[in-house]
Amino acid sequence: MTNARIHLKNVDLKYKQYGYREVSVKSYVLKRLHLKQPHMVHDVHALKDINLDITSGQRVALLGHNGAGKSTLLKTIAGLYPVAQGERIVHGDIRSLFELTLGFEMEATGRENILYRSLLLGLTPTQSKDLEPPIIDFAGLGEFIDYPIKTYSAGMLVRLAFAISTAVKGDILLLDEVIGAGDTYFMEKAKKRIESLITHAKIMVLATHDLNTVGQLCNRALVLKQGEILFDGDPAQAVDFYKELAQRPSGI
Amino acid sequence: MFKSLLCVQAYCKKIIQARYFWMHLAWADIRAKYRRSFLGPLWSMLQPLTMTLLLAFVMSSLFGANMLEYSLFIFSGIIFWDYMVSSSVAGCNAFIQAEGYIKQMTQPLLIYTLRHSLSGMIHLLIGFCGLVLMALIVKPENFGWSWLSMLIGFFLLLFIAWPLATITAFTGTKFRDFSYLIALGMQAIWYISPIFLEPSLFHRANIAFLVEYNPIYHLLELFRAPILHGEMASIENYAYVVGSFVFLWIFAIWMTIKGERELIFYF
Repeated sequence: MTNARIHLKNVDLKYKQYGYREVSVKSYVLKRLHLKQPHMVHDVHALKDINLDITSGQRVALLGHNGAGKSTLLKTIAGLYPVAQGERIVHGDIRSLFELTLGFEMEATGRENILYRSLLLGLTPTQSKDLEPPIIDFAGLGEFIDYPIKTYSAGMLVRLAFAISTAVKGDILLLDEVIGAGDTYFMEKAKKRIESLITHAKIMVLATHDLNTVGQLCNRALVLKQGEILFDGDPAQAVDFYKELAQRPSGI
Repeated sequence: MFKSLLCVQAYCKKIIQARYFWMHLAWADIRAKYRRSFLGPLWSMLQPLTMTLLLAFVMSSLFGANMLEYSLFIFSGIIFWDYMVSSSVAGCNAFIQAEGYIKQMTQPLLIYTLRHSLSGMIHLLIGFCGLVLMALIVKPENFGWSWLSMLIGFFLLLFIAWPLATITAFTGTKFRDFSYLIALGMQAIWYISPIFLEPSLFHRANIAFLVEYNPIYHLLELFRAPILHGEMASIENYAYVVGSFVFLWIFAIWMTIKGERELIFYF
């Protein structure tokens, strides 16, 4: 059994400018013929010199204002972005929850979508069948499980999506502000489910704006600002640091 | 060289590991296409058949050919050509369509183009059933062992459509209007290839090179030789097809090596 580990050393991540300046055959040709003055668009330096070591047993919260780099850091850990510079070493099965409704087919029933989402998560159809009863039980949809999910209310969708996404355990759990949606009853259930996932997972990294859950769920917290880690340590202190940061006028 | 072979092997392994996922995606595409449609999958046979009869009626009136035989000729070209077109044009949007998946899970990108080639293949197979039926009615004497060679044809066809879709997918993600260019290109090829126009026409007009050096002609011969003439396609036909296969794969692998890691930035 390998030990789960996330190791980032001197990691720089840049969003390449060719991804978001205007790209079409027409604009390429016009530019070549110097008929169009290009706006100066540069690479966005999304993560700056990140040094991070997360070992088994750590539950890390990522705090920061919108655009600080929390989602970017999570996706870099997940291996979705290529690092411009530095070293990224991750050991363990990664389970990421970035968007709950990924892979949902609106015309298909809830039961069918359980299968579709499970296949996405890397399960075989047989394994998916085994997971069906506990998922249906957790989602609490009753007979609606056999109705097309386009008939579901927003809350029902969230319950089903959450139930499926959290049914499969992994070594490293990456959560991007997914505990936001849902009514109070569901929130309690969701928190308990996350807690049980956490006890099974060896590492958890959670990006959140909910400062209350930080202390409840995590034993370490990072505060990010504009792609840099400004604080790394105790969750309670991190929350204080973040609150103080938020009170300063922007730019300082 | 050895290291890159290992990389290719590791990549193929990842594709095989994700097999339930891309098989599901291919079926999802087919379900989506025929949802709430009255005739459903029957359209995969009716649509090319109608086109065939229309063309056959016009062309046989113009050139005085036998309409039934000409229909068989056209039908045996149209369904495979439609597959090539759909694979290339839909391929342009393969990664764009899979944006949600690409931005949230690490999977080999080739599975998103494989999905299009596969779902297109299923449409093709439905049309092919219609072709077999027509062949057994119009030219039953051609039915024989040579038809088994079409299995090789289907295999080669899939593994030509897949790299083609991959090439258009990488290009189409970077240049969003590329699909129009491809559609236009395919239209042009339709008119200069022996798909609905008989090869003899090209020979008579002294533009036989459009037949002899045209990979499309040789690809179609893999299926036309058994169905229209009751014999296996020639070595020359297979050589052209295998050559195209190799060329397209080299190009597709090169594009994947160059572009896969940073593709996420193009969304």
